[in-house]
Amino acid sequence: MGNSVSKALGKLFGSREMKILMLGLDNAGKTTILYKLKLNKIKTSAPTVGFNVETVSYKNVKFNMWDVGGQERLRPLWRHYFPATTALIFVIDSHDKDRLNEAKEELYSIISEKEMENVVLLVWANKQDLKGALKPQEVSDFLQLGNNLKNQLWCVVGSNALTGQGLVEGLSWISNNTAKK
Amino acid sequence: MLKGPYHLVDTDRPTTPKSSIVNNGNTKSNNNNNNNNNNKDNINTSNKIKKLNGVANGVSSALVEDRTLRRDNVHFILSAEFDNKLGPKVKFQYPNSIPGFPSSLHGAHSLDSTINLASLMIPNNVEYTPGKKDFTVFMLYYNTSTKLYQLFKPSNIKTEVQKNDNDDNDDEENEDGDGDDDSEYIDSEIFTDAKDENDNLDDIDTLYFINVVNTVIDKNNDRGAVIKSISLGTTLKIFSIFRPVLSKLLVQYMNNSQNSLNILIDCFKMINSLDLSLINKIHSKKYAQLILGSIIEEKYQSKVLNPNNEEFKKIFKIKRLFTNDHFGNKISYENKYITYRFTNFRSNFLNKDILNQQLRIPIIADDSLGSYIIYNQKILRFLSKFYPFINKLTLQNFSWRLIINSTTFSKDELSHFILVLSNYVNSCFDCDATTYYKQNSILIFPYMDISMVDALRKYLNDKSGNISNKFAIIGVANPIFKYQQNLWDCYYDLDTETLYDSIEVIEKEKADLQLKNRPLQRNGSLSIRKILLKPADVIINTSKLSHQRNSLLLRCVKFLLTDDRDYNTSTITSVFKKVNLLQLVELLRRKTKTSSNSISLQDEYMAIYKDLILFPVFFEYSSLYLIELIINLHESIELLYSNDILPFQTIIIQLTNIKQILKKLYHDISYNRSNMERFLNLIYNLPSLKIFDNFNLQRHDFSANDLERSMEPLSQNNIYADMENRVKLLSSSWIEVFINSNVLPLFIIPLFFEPNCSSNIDLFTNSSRWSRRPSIGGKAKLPRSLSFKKLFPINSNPTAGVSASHVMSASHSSKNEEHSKIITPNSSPIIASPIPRTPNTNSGGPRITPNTSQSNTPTNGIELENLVNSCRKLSIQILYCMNKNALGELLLEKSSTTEIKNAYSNAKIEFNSTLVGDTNKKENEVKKSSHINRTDLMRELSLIAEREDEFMNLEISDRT
Ligand SMILES: Nc1nc2c(ncn2[C@@H]2O[C@H](COP(=O)(O)OP(=O)(O)O)[C@@H](O)[C@H]2O)c(=O)[nH]1
Ligand SMILES: [Mg+2]
Repeated sequence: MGNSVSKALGKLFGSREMKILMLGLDNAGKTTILYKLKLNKIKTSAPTVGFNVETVSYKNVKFNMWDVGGQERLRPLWRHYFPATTALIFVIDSHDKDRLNEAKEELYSIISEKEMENVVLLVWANKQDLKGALKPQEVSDFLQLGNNLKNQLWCVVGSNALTGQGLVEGLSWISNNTAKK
Repeated sequence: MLKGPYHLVDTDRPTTPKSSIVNNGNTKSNNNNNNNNNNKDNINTSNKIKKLNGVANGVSSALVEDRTLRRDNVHFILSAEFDNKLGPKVKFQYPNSIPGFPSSLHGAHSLDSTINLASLMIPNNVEYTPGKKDFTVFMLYYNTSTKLYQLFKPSNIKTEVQKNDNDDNDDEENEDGDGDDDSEYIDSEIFTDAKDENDNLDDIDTLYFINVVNTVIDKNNDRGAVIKSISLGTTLKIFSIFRPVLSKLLVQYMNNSQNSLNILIDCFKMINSLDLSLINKIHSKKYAQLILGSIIEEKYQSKVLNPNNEEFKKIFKIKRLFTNDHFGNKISYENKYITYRFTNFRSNFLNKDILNQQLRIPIIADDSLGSYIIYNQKILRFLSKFYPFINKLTLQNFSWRLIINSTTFSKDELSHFILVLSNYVNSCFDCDATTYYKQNSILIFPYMDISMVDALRKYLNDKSGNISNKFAIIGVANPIFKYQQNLWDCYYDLDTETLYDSIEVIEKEKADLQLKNRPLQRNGSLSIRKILLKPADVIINTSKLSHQRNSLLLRCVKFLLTDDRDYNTSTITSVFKKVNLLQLVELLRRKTKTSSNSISLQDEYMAIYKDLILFPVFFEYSSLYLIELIINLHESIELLYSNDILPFQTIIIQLTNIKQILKKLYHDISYNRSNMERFLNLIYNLPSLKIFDNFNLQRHDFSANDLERSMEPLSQNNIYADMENRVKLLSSSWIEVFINSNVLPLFIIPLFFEPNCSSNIDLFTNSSRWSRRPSIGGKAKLPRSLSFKKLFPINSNPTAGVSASHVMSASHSSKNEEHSKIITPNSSPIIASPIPRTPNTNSGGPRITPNTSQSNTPTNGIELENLVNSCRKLSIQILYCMNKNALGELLLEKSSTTEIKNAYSNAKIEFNSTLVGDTNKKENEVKKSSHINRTDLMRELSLIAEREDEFMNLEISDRT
């Protein structure tokens, strides 16, 4: 919706752009993912103060990816990043079981916003390399997205930001599911 | 030593009141008693009482406390850090938490819980540059009704249309009891706006915060880095002077976790252990600051800005330089700077390098902002894009909320850019204090975080949701601001130098939708998406749609941008000021009688020119009064200098008019120092009214004009250029000719009037006699004969066309041989700039009496001679008075040719008796003329405009 112009252009010229918003609790791995995708490097030596934005190209799609800091006091600011978002990526630290519920609450509070009702949702169940991390299926079950999301497309993908595993899969899911929409 | 984080009492600080060592205004009434001029004392004291009452009635004891706090150099020290779980939080506030920003577990938040000061202290992306310090600046405003500080200027404090222009006046002359040159000045103003009675609270209650932040990689930290910052809050606009000490403090603070609070407290005390009254006094001299700040030539700068020179001491009325401040701290003086050392402060906690840090303070307060030069090109490029945007706005939607984004600049550079731009725009970076259009001021926010966006929206949209006449310059480092609809009218990306116009964005969206035959949906997301994805689509095509007028200012901006020469800040400011004044003059000259007093002139100016840049000082009533007089003088002289022989009666009327104007001017400027300096500031900046005389500045499109040609009359006839500087000026760019032009010659011309004239043409044949070197030394060399026409381009040839390239010499030769004789050697033709002004209802133009009474009887001859002599005498009195003022002396020296100096010396000898003893008379007269209120002034202005022979009720005793 409202996306037809760039979609048409994309079909004509074989490229399109979209704004992706990547959220999640602090320490989930958002920034690591962003720079793994952008630079294929691990570049996290400090927490994100505010946000990062990078354009990541993948298969003729330019993903304009916004990674916004997830500290408690910064979460109320997430909504300012909502406008014009095509896809929401929610990153979960699958190993941080204590905060899984906190993550779930934050996720639901985002997707219940009017501005976000038309976005597609990708959940990266990150840090799959860590022992004891929940499997993507377990994360998915915990989040109960199937029960709660009636009109939105969603998907849970396991990832390891350090190796890049699962990242491309996630982006191509977004690419496929926004093009068809 | 410390009990808790918030330590309220500061016992170490010296409690002695800061009485002055040199000229500290705060304590003036104490040391003034043996001042033989009791008037001064009384006026000062009563002003002070008024002010105190104003405060007491005005509201709170908190405010009174704030006032006393004002003597501190810094009022708050804060520290903040990035908490890995919470985000940015304020850690300490000392000596207490800022009213309105109580400390909580999460740091200091305002009552609006979304506003977290820490987000300004720990700016976005600071983690990108570990080990590299960055600075931010923010302001807090005191709200007198809530008695709390807040992030946006409270709307309940509306500044008056015209700001009180007497800021620097109340502390004048206090130690000047020895009857020196300035003893005729009295500490009051002829023009006293109602505003004077209540002191302006706004300025006092703005706190400026200068903040330094750094990221230090730390393997022991669970997120790998420590991010901390420290801010100092001060009422001093020169807050930047604290950068070096703050920077060192942060290093120690981040290295030393044990004594971190003690370190902050001691540094706070250390800074407050200085007595900055001397530099504060220097900075409070508004006109001196303005005039000196716009002096370009290094030669003069090093002369007047070096405290060790007599000129400096005279200008700032400093008798001698002390090597210590009141508390015994060492002060040293160098060209353009005064340096303080913390010699008397001891600390167990602070590192040596902090204790040894000096506070080096520029004499021109604006210089504390640091170098503009790195931004000048960027600012000019911005202006060249912003002017077309602002020009398109209609009066109904005259609003520009401007957001400037950069993600490549450091926050320091970004804030600096915003402050420099704001300083250009409204002549001082706290321009929230001055109004811009319709009582609205410009919100200046050097660096804003996205967390403030709701509060900003609330602030910019009043209750009715009306956003008309809202103006803001906001620096951001987050492109998400571009997505915030209804927040900006104009979004400028500093990194790509791209300007986004919100209206064009919407238009583009409409067009696209219509193209696709789809109903228009205004939910905004589409347009926003397009801005982001296809910026070029949105911007490029519309800017060429309609041809925009190139105003004079835009033309100047474009010239400055494309010219090879590197123009410095003073040049650029000077151009802006001159255009501002010329446009103001044009407005005043075209103003119809009916345009009422109710609409402020500044608003009218904005409505017509839609200029970004405005110098409020010129819009003060008292300045307008002077400008009116100058216009009037110009027009009378122009008329007399016509090539036609005027009816005798007309000559008399014009000369009478000139005499009246000069008398009023003399009265005004000799009244006190402040008036004089206001006048000097005007003369210094107002270009010759001949420039662009042929153009309607309100409508003319300058895009096609060759400004080089427009300036020709000046470069060829400029009174300063005429002699020594002529060659130099001709070879320089028109911009230099333009900025070197001023109206000083208008006041010199009457000096050259020929008393034994019989016609208006004879009136001007006299200059050579006066420009001769005074013959005292005996070996006076005769200067080459100097025609008046050559001295100043006031030749007005009504038959000449509008063309600026009309050659004048031919038309002259027939009438007056002497003129042509003198013009010819120059070989360069003198250009006529006639006044093709449409006959205005009220152009302020001289009224010409019908050509009836032509009889030139001997009585008439005497009448004429007396008039001419009166004008000459007033002219010399004005010059004499100017020359007695240190700034005036500078101006005269800077702008006069040898011939003018000689003429002045000669005239001084002739009128010697009049000039001496003049000062005694003054005092009695002056008292009667004080306190003219606004209504009187407006009446006055219109009276002048109507060119009545009867002038205002000001009692002027004839001094002839
Ligand atoms: N083992 C492991 N560590 C990860 C992974 N992704 C991120 N991290 C680490 O988790 C920490 C936080 O990552 P960061 O990207 O800064 O999280 P953010 O706060 O969501 O941006 C860093 O130390 C990363 O190295 C992952 O997939 N596996
Ligand atoms: Mg991060």
